[in-house]
Amino acid sequence: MPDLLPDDFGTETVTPPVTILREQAEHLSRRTGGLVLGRVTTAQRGDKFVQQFVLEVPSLDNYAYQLFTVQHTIILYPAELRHGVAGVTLLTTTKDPEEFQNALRDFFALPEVRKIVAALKAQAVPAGAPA
Amino acid sequence: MLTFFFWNMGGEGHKRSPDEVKTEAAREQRLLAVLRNVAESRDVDVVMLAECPVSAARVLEELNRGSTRPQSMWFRDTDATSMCERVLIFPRFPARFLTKRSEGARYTGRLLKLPDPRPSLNLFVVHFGSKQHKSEASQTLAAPVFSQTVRELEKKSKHDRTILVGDFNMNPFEDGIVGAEGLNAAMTRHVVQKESRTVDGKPYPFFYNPMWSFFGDSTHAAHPPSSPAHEPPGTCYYPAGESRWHYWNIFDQVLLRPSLLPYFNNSDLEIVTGDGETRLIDGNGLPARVTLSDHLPILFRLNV
Repeated sequence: MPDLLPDDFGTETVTPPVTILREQAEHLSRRTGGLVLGRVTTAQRGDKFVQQFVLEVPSLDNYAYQLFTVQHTIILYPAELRHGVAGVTLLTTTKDPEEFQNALRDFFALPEVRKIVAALKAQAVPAGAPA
Repeated sequence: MLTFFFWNMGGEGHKRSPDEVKTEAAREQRLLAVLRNVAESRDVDVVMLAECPVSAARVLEELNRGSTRPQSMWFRDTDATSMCERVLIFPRFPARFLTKRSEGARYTGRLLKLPDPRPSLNLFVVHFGSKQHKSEASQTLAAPVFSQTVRELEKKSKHDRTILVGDFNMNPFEDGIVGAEGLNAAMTRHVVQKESRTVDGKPYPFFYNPMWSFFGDSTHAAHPPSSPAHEPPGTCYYPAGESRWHYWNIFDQVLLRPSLLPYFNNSDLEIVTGDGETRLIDGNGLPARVTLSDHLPILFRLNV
C-alpha cells in the first residue's frame, strides 16, 4: 500500500493558548514567591478544549481557586476567555495569540483579580513560618 | 445523622420606591423567619444559601435567635475568606470541620471532616449560571470542567464520598447533568452501583441523582397543594415560554457518589413546602415567588 500522506505536515507556528497560559502560571508562581501557584488543567468536550487556570495555595492544604477558563477548538483560535470574578460571567473572544495575550493582560490587571491573588497570598504561610 | 438544607432565596427585590422598600423588607423578614423555623424544627446541621438578599451577619443572627440549644450547637458564621460570593454556608459545628478546598466564582468545594467515627465528605455547593444569561450549550460546556474539578478534589481527599448540592440551573435530564463528560448523574441506584461507565474508551464515574423521583404529579391526588405532605413536581416554576416548555423545573438538586448510597434514604430527601407556619407555595402549589422566593428549598439527610 503506498504512503498517501503529504511529504510534510508543516509546522504550526501559532502559539497555542495552553502554552501562553502555562507561561503565565509560572510567572504568577514566581511573582508570589511560591505562596500562590498557577496551574493549568485541560478538559475536553467533543471538539472543544477547555483550559482551567487555577490558583493553588500549598500552605492551605493546596486550596484551589479556579480563576478563569479558556475554550477553543482543535484549531486553537478563536480562543474564548471566560471568567466570573466581577460577579457576572464575562466572555472575551480572541482571534490570535496577540489578542489572547492582550486579553490576559487586561484580565490579570482587573482589581477583582488583584484582590483575589492578594487575599490568597495574605492567607498563605511561608514555609518554616509558624502557622 | 447530618441534615443539609439548600435554598436559592430569590435574590434582592426592587427597592426603587418607598413602597417597594417596605415590601422587600417584609419579604426578607419572612424569608429569614422560614429559614430559622426550618433550621430549628428539622434539626438542620448545614444551611446553604444562594441569592441571599440580606447580609450573612443578619442570617446568622436570625438562625440563632431564640435558640434553646447549647451555644456549642449554634450556627457558625460563614467563612469570610471564601472566594465564592454566590453561596453562603452556615454550619452548626466549628468552622475548622468544614474547610474550603476548591472554589470558583460559582461553586465552593469543602472538606467536611467531623470527628471520628464520622467519615469525611467532599461537599460542593453550587450556583451555576442561569438560562437568562447563558445558553444551554454554555451550561453544558461548563459541566466537564466542573466535573474535573470535583475529581481533582476527590484525588486530594483520597476518597469519593462526594455531595454536589445547589442551584445547577439545569434540569436532571439536561446534558450537563446526565452527560458522561458532564456530571454523569443517573436516576437509579441500580445504574450507578456500577460506579462508572466507559464511553469511547474513557471511564466516567457516576453520580446518583435522586431528584428525578420528584417529576410528575403522581402523589397529588392523595396530597394536593393544601396538604402538608404535598410533593411539588419541581423546585421552580416558570409559566409561558417557547414551544418546548416544562413549566416545572428541578434546578435545585443534590447529587451523590455511589459510595454515599449506604448512608442515604430517598425518604430523607424533600422539596420543602413550608416551615409549619408559613407555606412556601400558593394555593395552586406554585412557589410563592412574590412573597418569598421563586425557588423551593431542598432538604436531605445522610446517616453519617
